[in-house]
Amino acid sequence: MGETLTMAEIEAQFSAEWVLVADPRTDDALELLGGHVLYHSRDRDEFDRKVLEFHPRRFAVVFTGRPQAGMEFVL
Amino acid sequence: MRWAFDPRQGLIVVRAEVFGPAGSAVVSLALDTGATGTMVNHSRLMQLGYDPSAVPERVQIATGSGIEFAPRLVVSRFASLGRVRTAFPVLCHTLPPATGVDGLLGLDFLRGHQLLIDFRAGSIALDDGP
Repeated sequence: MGETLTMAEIEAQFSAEWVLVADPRTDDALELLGGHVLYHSRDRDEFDRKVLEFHPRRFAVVFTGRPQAGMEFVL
Repeated sequence: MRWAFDPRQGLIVVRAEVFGPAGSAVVSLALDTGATGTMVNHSRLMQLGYDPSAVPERVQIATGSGIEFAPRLVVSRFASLGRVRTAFPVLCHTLPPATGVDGLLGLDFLRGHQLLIDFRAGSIALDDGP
């Protein structure tokens, strides 16, 4: 299992990536404070496939990117 | 209690914890009052021990680009915005990666409460109401 990182460290090391975090530390609002990074990828489809190989009991998934400039969302 | 979001840009992103047979996942969802049902990424539900492909119920979902069919399964526990639901039905559908979220928090989770979205303060409150 990877080393324990804070959320600031996760964002700095894995910029604009999808990150699988095991044993996440969260606050009352479920905001991620840190945890063990198990896997990360810029490609969400690849991320979705690979994370099925990991089996943490409690985990978090976070995208460290920002909305693409000029893109509007109509979900 | 109030929950913070970025009022200046992008979607209103909230955190939720979804529970299943294999554990629990903290995910980011877009608060969407235009969605009648809460939706969670297919892979995330698989990680939690659910098998969406084995769910017999498929429901029609009307999107901006047409009608699609998605499995609807019941997760054992679902928590967000300080509220917890047990045996909560969610749609299994994966949004485009550009959204940066793992699904939608829809009206089915919000009904029966008073939702206050303050775009000046960047805060959300989900209360019981008067």
